[in-house]
Amino acid sequence: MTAAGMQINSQIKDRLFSIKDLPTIPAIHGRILKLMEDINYSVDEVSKLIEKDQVLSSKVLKLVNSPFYGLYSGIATIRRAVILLGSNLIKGIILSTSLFDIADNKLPGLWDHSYCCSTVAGFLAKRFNLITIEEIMTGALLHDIGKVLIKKQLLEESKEIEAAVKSNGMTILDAERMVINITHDDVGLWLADTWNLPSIIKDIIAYHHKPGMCSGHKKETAIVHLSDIIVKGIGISYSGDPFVPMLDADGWDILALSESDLVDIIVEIMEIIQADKGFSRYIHGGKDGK
Amino acid sequence: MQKLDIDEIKPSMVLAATVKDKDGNILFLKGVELTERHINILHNRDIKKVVVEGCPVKRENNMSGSICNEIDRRFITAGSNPVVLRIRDIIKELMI
Repeated sequence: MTAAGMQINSQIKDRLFSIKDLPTIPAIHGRILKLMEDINYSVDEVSKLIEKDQVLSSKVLKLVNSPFYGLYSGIATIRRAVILLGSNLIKGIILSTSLFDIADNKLPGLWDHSYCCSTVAGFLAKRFNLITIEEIMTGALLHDIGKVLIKKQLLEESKEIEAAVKSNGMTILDAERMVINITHDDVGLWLADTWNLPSIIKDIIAYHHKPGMCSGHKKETAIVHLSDIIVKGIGISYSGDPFVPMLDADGWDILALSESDLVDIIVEIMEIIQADKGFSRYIHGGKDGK
Repeated sequence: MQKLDIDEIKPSMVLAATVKDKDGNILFLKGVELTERHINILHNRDIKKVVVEGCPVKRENNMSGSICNEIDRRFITAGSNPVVLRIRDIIKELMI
């Protein structure tokens, strides 16, 4: 890289990571997160605070009743949902809600995409009998948070990235590399570091496009990678571009799935999607997720 | 592979995917060659769609071309790894 290029890059990094502009977390969300720092947090207290926030409540209930999660249905109280989902997933919902709300009119459909990935990843985690299902779903919910920060901090560059995606059919990753020389997975990792998220969730955010390079939670990361590809491939949601990311061959090998497993998985995912009203609204021709 | 409505299912068709009921219990494993008895059970268990091998039902559907094009377009950036191409084709076969 030229000296001028390096200067631009460091300028972009300064603007991206300037602490004072970091998305603020609404007070009520901050209070819940604070309470949950204590591992012996009171479920009642947390539930009562969540109930005060309608958007948050509806997301918590939607996730716990998700047909992909499949374990539970007809959960109607926040208290029960908090117990069933666990603290990581509740924190993930709060962080993604806080952050995605800020970018809501800028990145329509990103929450939907993250929600779909999270539930599909939960379905796969269950299939693999992984005990880290809660962390996997949380990681999937947060895997694209870097996109939000880029959109918020670098408005002009974001427009260039979008234009490159639309006109050249580039993946968002390639477009980000071209315009700002940093990608949303690295930006997301920085945010996850700032929030002090567990290493498994950081791995998922940082390596969701290249699980083969992950030295920590490879399988969990590979699951979110595959979920991202399947969700995009089916066209259930929109995350800034309609294009399916490149499959990471090493990541695929980690999962050791046969062709026959793949058929079963996709058939089952599509059946659940088509049977569920909450999901069917996401099936579209690759336009807006609304 | 083709996804068919239960009314299109005929004996001797072969299941390409495991059939589960609403509660997730397995009814028939993939690879089973369907008989009248199987088809009756599918009806009784209120199964609406079944995925079978091959493409036994020819459709005159104007939509299928545009659905295929749309799916191809989404996968332009996905690379040429055989697995991702297979994912694309499975999705196509299940959507049309």
